[in-house]
Parts: sequence; C-alpha cells; structure tokens
Amino acid sequence: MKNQVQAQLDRETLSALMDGHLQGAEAGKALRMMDSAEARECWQVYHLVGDVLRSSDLAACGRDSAFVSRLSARLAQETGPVAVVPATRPRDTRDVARPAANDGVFRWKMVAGLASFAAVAAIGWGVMGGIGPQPGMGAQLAQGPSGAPTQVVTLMAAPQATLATASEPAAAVMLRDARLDELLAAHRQTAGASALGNAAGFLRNATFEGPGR
Amino acid sequence: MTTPAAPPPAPTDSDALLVERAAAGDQRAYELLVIKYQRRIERLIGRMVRDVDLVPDIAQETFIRAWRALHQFRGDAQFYTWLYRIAVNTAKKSLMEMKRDPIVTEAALQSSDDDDETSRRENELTSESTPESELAAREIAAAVNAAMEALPEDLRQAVTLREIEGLSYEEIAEAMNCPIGTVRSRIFRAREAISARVKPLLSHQTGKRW
Repeated sequence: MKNQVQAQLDRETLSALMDGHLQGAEAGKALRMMDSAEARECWQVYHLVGDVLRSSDLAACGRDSAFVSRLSARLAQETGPVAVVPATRPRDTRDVARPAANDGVFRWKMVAGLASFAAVAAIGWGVMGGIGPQPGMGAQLAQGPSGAPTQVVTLMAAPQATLATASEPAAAVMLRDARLDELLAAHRQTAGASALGNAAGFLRNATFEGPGR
Repeated sequence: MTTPAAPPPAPTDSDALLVERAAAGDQRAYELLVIKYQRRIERLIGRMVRDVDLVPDIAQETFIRAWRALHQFRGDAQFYTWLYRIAVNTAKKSLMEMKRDPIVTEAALQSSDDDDETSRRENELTSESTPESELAAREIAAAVNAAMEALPEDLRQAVTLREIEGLSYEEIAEAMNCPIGTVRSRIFRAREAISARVKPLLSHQTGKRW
C-alpha cells in the first residue's frame, strides 16, 4: 500500500516536471526517477495524451517502440554535445577550398578600387608634372653637393645666370633649404613674379658673412 | 473532445531543464526530450517525404544531429523551433541525396503546423499509414476523447487549460480560482485517468510498433 502511494506521488512529481513546475533539488529528484522503466513509460504516455489532445493525427506517429532504444545505442557511440566544442576542432579544409557565394562581388569591388586608385594617381602625376619647372623658364639657382640640405647661392642681378656653388663664397650669398625649392615649385602659380623668374615672393634672403668681413 | 486548433505547450515546460542537462552530457535527459518530440518530428518529416520507410531514419538522424549540436542551442528560441529547423534540413538533405523533391514545401509545412483541422485533412500523414496503424491511431484518439468526456468538470477544465490552451499553473489557478497545489493535483489526476484508458491499447498492439 505504501509503495502504491509512493508510486502515485512519484507520478504526480513527474506530471509536474512535464509542466516545468519543478526546480532545483525537486527537479533533480524527478529526473533521477526517470531511470526506471515505469517512469519512462509514464512520461511517454502522458506526452502521448497531451499530443493527441492537441492534435488527434499525432496518435498515428511515433509508434515505433524501439525508436528510442535504437537512438540511445547510437547516442552512446557519440562523443556527446559537450565534447564537440568547435574551438578545438581543426578547420575543415573543404570549407577553405569552397568559394563563397559572393566571392565574385568582392573580386569586382577590389578591381574597381584598384582602377580608381590608379586613375587618381595618373591624374595627380600629370598635374604635378605640368606645374613643375619648365625648361628655359627659370634659372638654376644653385648647385651644391648632392643631398645637401642647405645650398649657398650667389645672388645675381641677371635672371638667367647660373649661380655660384658653395665652394665659391661671394660677397652676398643666400642660404636656402632644398625643400623650399620644392615648396616654391608647387606654389608657383600663386606666387608673384620676381627677378628670379620664379616664386620670389616666398624667398627669404639672408646674408653670409665670409671670412673677409 | 479534441480541440482542433491547439497551440503547442507554453514555454513553461520542462524543456529548459532537460536541455540544460542534456547539453551537459546527460543522455537520459535528452531521451526524455526525444520521447516528447518524436511524434511531432515524425509527422513533420512524414509531410515532407511521405515515405513509410524513410521517416524513422530521418527522425533518428535529426535527433542525432541535434544531440551533436546541442551546445550551440542558446535558448533564444524554443527547443522545438530549433529542432524543427534541424528536421527540415535533414529531410531536405536526405531527399537531395536521393534526387527527390520534397512533397510539401516548407511554407506549406509552417502553415499546416498550426494543426488546423482543414489543413490536417489535406496534409494527412501518409507515412506509416497501414490500415492497422490507421485503426490503432483512431482507437487511441477515441480513447483519449472518451476519457476526457468521462472526467469530472474540474479535472477536464484543468487539463484542457494546460494541454490545449498552454496556460501555466499560476494562470490556471487564477482562472479556476483555486490554489496552485490543487491545479497540480487536478492535472495529474486527469492524466492518470486518460492514461488508464490508453495504456491497454498500447500494450495490445504487438509487433514492431507498440
């Protein structure tokens, strides 16, 4: 009699478990009950009743009593859901070899980008070349050792004259940074004309006191 | 007594607990989920392939795949929704391997999965539809309906609100104006009474299927 009462209590617990009304230790106890064949049969029939109440055609489904046992045998051969964590899984080479569906779009975008860059570079090169020093238009202001940051030139009255080198100190010389020439060349169009025939408005004059003074 | 348009059970069910345990490697917990959803998954697959022999195999493959991928289930959707997708994809893959097209489109599946009476007749499961199985299914449905008719009003109301309307114990207690413990007891007693009528049918069906 006690066993019958206990069995009924167990089934009531199982019924509450079905409805998600058990938590914590009570739920754990109910799940442990599921090791018994009676409890599993009860679980199956209760769910069958619920399914048929909701939709009578479900009575025709799932009638293979060996389904779960066959599945259990297969599950036992599996590694389980936890062991199959993708972090440790080596990358499948088939995934690498297989092209994505939108690979073609990306390729065309890359080609278009490179073409745009090339076009901008070509136009820029042409513009820069057009505003650079033209042959015969200006004087070569100085000539010094290659790579020297500062050139010492002799200030001459004639615009077409070739100026002296640093090794020939004159009475009045001008110290100029080589980078300044590049800056002046770049801003030639906006600079005023001068006796040098170039962007003299930006020139900074300086004197050099030679050893004779 | 069977209500034609019934929503699936409410989120307040045992799925979350069982999925959590199964994801931790508890095979027993996963088998309880399999028992719970086997019928719905087989019906779904049967509507796609309509082949008696294919349905159990594809259903097995579905549950195996779900077991392998269980760690990916985040609980954002209901477990059955997730399982449904796996079943549809598995059935499609099986059909592709056999160079067959699905009998029923996925859109038709979704519309008919609401268990509407009309669509149910149109999409009547033909897998496993031998005359014996048809008869057995009708007997089970008739036994459940008869048991429901014979239930006292308070038990019938409680189990209807739970199984068909999908209400939680708290909502049923409020609707029936009784304590939650009483709701739990009434639902249990209703299930017991219906099961008592169904069990003999299951045990009498000898052979491979029940």
